[in-house]
Amino acid sequence: MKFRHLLFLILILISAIGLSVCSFWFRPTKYADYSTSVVKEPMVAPLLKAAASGVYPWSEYKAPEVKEATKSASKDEKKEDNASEEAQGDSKEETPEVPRPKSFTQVTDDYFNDAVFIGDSRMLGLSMYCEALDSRATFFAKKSLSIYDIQEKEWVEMEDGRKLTIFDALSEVQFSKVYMEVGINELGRGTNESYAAAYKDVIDRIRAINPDAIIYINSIMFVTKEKSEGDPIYNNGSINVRNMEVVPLADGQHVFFLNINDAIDDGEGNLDASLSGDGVHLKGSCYEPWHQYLLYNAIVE
Amino acid sequence: MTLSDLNFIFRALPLFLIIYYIFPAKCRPCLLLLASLVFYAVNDYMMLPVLVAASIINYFLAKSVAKKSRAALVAAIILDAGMLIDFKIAGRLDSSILLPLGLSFYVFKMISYQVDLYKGKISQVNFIKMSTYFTMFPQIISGPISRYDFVTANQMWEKHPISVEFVSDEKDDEELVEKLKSDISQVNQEIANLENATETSVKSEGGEEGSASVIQAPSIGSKLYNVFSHVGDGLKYFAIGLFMKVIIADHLAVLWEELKTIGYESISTPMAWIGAYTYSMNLYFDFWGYSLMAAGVGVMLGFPFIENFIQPYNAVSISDFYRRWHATLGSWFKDYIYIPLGGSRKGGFRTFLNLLVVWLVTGFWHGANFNYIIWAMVIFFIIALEKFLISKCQPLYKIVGRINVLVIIPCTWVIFATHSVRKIGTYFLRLFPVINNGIAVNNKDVFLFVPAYLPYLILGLILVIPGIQTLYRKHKDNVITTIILFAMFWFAVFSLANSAGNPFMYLRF
Repeated sequence: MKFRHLLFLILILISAIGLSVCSFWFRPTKYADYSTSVVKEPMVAPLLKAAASGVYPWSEYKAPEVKEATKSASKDEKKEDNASEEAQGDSKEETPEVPRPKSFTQVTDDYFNDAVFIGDSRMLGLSMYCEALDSRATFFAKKSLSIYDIQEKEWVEMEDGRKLTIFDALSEVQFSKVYMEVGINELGRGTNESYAAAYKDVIDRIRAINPDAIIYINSIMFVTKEKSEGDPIYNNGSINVRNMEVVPLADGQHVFFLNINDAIDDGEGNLDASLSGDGVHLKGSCYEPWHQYLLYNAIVE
Repeated sequence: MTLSDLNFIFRALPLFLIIYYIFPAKCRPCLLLLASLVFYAVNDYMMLPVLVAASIINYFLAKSVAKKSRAALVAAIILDAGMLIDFKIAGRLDSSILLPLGLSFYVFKMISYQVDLYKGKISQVNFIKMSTYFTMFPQIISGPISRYDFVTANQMWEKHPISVEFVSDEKDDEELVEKLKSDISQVNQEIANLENATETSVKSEGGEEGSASVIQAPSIGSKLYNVFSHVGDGLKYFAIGLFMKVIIADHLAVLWEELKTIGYESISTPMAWIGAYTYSMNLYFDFWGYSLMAAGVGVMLGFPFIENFIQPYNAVSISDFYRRWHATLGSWFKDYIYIPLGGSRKGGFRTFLNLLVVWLVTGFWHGANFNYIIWAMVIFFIIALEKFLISKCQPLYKIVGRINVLVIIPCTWVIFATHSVRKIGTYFLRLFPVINNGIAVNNKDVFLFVPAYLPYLILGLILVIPGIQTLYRKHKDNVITTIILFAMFWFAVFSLANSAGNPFMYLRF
């Protein structure tokens, strides 16, 4: 009998049992966010999923603060509500002058010389397959990017190898227009409210860097009818709901909402299937409608 | 639930192995049949009656075939092949009609069973063993297409399995000699044990009871070692296959998907070539990986190892490639279509026709889409060219044969993967840009898309090297090899846990 012949089996058995026990032990605490139903996945799965997010068995566990924080938050919200009601009352009396919303006009490609484009793989596609924009504007685009990543992470890779947040990166470039296109990766994550709140936070922080910048929110682009009908998460119903959540952020002065779906719609509220190879992205040869839409929907001071 | 499902790996398989080996050897075929039916029902319960009905009908026909009834054989072949053709055509005409899971595979097993029975290669009809052969869960989804002798060769169905070490995949003569020596020494050892035991029993005051306990004690240990040895060996193949499928194939599938996203008209020529090689490796490691996993589970259950991919990219010609690629399917076509039609024994023209028939059937077997027929006809054309023309000049054949395998084969996989004839045309014009059909081509696309997938492409290229397999076979019990396999297994499981078994989970937008 050769022990070495059985070594692999022994190692797998010991490690599988050990990791499963560890996963079971920490399941109610640090792996709570990574656990689904016990019926759906083996006991070892939460540990492996947590490890992918940097949470290891030896990582420190912080119990979520629940009651006190919620109570004080709700009190603050009430105070804010009262304050806003009072403010509204005041505004009724004073009726300050509301500035007229600026209107869109047609521009040439040179308009984008001082523009920054921020977004996910769809924006990345625009940089790769729209020479007119790529040669003029600055693109900060990354596959799988979400508004939450923009808020928190150092995801911009600079030419010198540094990784920065978008806000630090914007501090290093000259810009007067910002085009944003995110939202598809956020479907199925967070709530509509948390999505809009994160979007607002990002816009406020960009405006803090350059208060005169014009910020364009590009709508989340539709998916094709086939994709939409077969996908419980990435469908046009959810996309419409999320788009409607960010429309109020447009103030008509500095922040504008661009419904780019007008340019790629199939007439039934879906991405035109002839423009897409995978149902989600525009094909390389089909970015021109988006480009043209931006040319015809620009704000000139 | 497939073989690469975490619930299969960590729950269903260990549980079944425990039950399988707790029960005596004679119960194991029944247990495997039962587990296979449950496995099938979990995956495709709607079509389980088709499998069960086909098995029962084949059993009754087999009883007549065993008595050399040619009519029963013809009826069985027409029924089995007709079922396959019907479903494929119906599925093509009406997309709501789904193909029963594994139909292409179990129908071929049913035909081979009936033919082998008629030819006398199978001595008796046993319903349980026959049904287990048709339905066995490791092979039901994607093969390999074993023959019935695979089932009868199961050592763990014997009350007293002979061999302790498992080496059926080892082709090296020296290793076989070593194995034989080991077996002989083992038998000698057992004889010595028996003699000692007899002596002990004679000396023992306990009489027969005492002697029996002394004789059986080592044999239980040996049996246990035998079981763990099979499970351990099978698990190694399973781990390698899982790694190939989950880490290499599934990630390369995403790069291939990127090309579809861009649109073939917008990819550069270098990107088109990288795409062709990417899909070739994706298909190879997906299928080879799955075959290894299936073979590994088979070994765990006591079956011999089936080698379905015999270093195909080391082939000297396309004919040779298809003897090595999905070898169990190739040998099925050879034994049950090509040779019965006359093979190459009836002159050049008949050989040409026989090859044409085999490749038409091969194309149709893969699917009722037109691209599979084009793919099969291109392969047939090149094989015919190699066989009737290029092989006349051996020095040229040696060079052209290798070029065919390494350059033409990846191009043919593009046809295999692309269901639209128009898209095939577009892709080939990007591969060979004799006419510029590019629209909005980004000439830097290789540098933009490929770097993220470079580790998987390099891993794939390393595993294509034929020497790697030889190296593994020589050192498979080595501690370093064991640790590498251990890391591969957990790396694959880690990836699976984070993709929920769906490779396109990696494909975030």
